[in-house]
Amino acid sequence: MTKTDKIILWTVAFFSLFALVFQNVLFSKGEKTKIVIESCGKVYASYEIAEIREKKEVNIETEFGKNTVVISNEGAEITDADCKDRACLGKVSKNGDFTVCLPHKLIVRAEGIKEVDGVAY
Amino acid sequence: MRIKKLSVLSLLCSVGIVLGLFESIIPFFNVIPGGKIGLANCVTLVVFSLFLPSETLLFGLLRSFVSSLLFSGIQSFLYSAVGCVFSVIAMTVTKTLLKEKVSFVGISILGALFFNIGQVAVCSLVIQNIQVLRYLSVLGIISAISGTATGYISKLLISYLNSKNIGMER
Repeated sequence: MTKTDKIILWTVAFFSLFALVFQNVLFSKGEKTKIVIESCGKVYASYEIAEIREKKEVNIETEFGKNTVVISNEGAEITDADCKDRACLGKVSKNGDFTVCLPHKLIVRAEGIKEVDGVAY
Repeated sequence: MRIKKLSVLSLLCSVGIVLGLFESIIPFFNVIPGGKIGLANCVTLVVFSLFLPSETLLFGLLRSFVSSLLFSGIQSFLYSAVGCVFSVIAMTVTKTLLKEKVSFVGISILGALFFNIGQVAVCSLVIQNIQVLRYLSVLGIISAISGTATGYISKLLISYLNSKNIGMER
């Protein structure tokens, strides 16, 4: 490993780690969490976690395929998909989390929303 | 000469495909979606060191085409094809700019990183959501680790091939 190699290695590692920490801070703001299900850039459905009392199963059927999303007051979870790799199966609970289903062009993400409780003059 | 080149390239291509399959059946490597140790990339690096950049690009495209047909479905070819173009360009630029200063480890890390950048860019365009780019931070850390590993492995491979005179002059 030459000196330049080391510089490349540490630059890549440092910047990625920095970006990871930075976005965790940036996107985890907001006390309430909203689950947003998007397909092809359009919002398919959105739920506020605080308003959900019991587990809810949502079947999403697009022209590309079918996904099953379970939404509870702990977050959302893609539990089933009718594709081959099923890489999208996963939980979304913290603000800023997301999981993507590539073949069905679907993204499920948790978005933090700011609570406005009264305006101070 | 041309025939020798063709046969060596296709032989290495099949080695790459089999290594890709071998890796996909080891569950340890599939924990993070999109993250791989990239055993097949060792072969790509060997090709990069023995052949011209254009031939490496051809090799990479062929390998990802056959792999996607065999294992993961044709739609995944788009992702690996763009990643492949990005990574070959990045490796060639690194090699020509830094020449002797950079070894296979550095080239490998940058190749892995740009492969992921290309893939995530296509993914972001397909899903039409810019937030997907945030995933690059995770993939960046993985490329630093796996790029170092594949760089060292291909260094060993290339010195072995050279000692046995299997390497080809450009």
